[in-house]
Amino acid sequence: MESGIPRAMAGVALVFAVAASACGGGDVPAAPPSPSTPRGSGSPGPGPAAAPPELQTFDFGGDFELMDQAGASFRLSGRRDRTHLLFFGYASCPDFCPVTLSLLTRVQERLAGQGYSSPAFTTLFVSIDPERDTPERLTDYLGYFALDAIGLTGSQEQIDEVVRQYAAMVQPTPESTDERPLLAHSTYVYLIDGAGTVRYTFRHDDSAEFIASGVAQLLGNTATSGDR
Amino acid sequence: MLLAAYSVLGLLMGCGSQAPGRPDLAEDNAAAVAAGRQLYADIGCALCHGNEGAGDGPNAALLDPPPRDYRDPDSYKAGSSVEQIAATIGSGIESPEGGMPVYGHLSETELHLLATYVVSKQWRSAAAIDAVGAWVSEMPPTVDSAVLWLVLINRGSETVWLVGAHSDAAESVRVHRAVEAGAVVRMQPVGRLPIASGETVRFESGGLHLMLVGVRHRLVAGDNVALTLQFDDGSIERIVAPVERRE
Repeated sequence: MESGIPRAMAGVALVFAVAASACGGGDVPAAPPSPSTPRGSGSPGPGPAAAPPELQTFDFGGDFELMDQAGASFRLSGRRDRTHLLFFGYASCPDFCPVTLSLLTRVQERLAGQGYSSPAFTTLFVSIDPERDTPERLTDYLGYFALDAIGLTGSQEQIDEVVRQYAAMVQPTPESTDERPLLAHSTYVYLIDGAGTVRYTFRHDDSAEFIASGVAQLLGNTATSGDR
Repeated sequence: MLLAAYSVLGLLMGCGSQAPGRPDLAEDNAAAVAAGRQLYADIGCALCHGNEGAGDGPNAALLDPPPRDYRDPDSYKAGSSVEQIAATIGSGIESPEGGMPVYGHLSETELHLLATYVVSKQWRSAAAIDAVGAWVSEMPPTVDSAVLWLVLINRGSETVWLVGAHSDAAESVRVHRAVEAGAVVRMQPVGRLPIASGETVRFESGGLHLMLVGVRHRLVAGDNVALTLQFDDGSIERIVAPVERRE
């Protein structure tokens, strides 16, 4: 069938995953990958296998309190020793968020295959459109994806603060209307360790195996302390 | 009601209200189209049909059903040829909710000129463009727009520009390009998209896509979406895209 353009790319990515897993962890890491190019995303053709991300420690980010999709209070610091991937988006988002949530679903599947799952590892989806994105709406949106994500919303002020903390950006596009919001927003996926520190910012076009390998590095550490 | 340009044409051709003018008209289609356009303006066709025939004139919203987009050859109930359209304008279309009035006071030549103009606005199939691999991402329940992906190949010898797209499934269809500026990815509207001779243009994640804005019924896997692509040379390409769940 001709209709599988993205799936053809996924096939390429799988080849890379196999190649990457053959590398083991003992290699000397190459220079940190440039943030402006996709990593491990498997451009067609032969090439070196993607190295796992070299984790860092970032100053931005930090604790926050929002409301989850069940309407309960959620504090990042209340989930110590757990590993999170955090992504900003909104439930009316027609293009970017579904692609990224599909990517994060593949990350989750990959990690589950290695024995890592919720609550040791959870995806956080922070709404940048809190006025429309009620907990119910987030439930409907996230429920569509086979993803164990916690949807988070709050007051506009709370969201603005988290966006600022994480050095993210939100801009309405000229086509945006009240009825049909169209927001340009940061597309980074933040890797947050059990102490609440941002350890890596993935790009939307990083491969699922590259992201999963970053998460697994943290989970491998926490697993030895019994939180698995 | 007769307008200067049309009168001149009529005089040149020496035609009355009967068929004798037609062979001449056939030889000078451009003049007939110009005269038809003038009649179209004088009679006020655009009030309902719109300037370009899209069925979007100022009065269109008052009509139920609204006028069809007569650029689409498939939109005609009573035939899309010059003769059939001339007959339709002359006899009108009955409909309980309004329909099209009878323009029986127009001469046959006038009807013929009008119909010639209307036919000149009709889309022709885009011979140069191949559209392959089209599919639509299934929509999450909270989203009212859908994304269509495909590949366009220009097999002709000249650049063709994609200038628009239409689907009955959505209020509008826009060409968007994902543009990355720093950490932000913005969906930038693309007004006219050139497809050079021999070029393959891929609409895929992170680049170009067709956005079906204001989808009337949520599209789920198993549905099919009919879409018309419009090109600058007046040609069209019709595609049917299956809706599939993104993996």
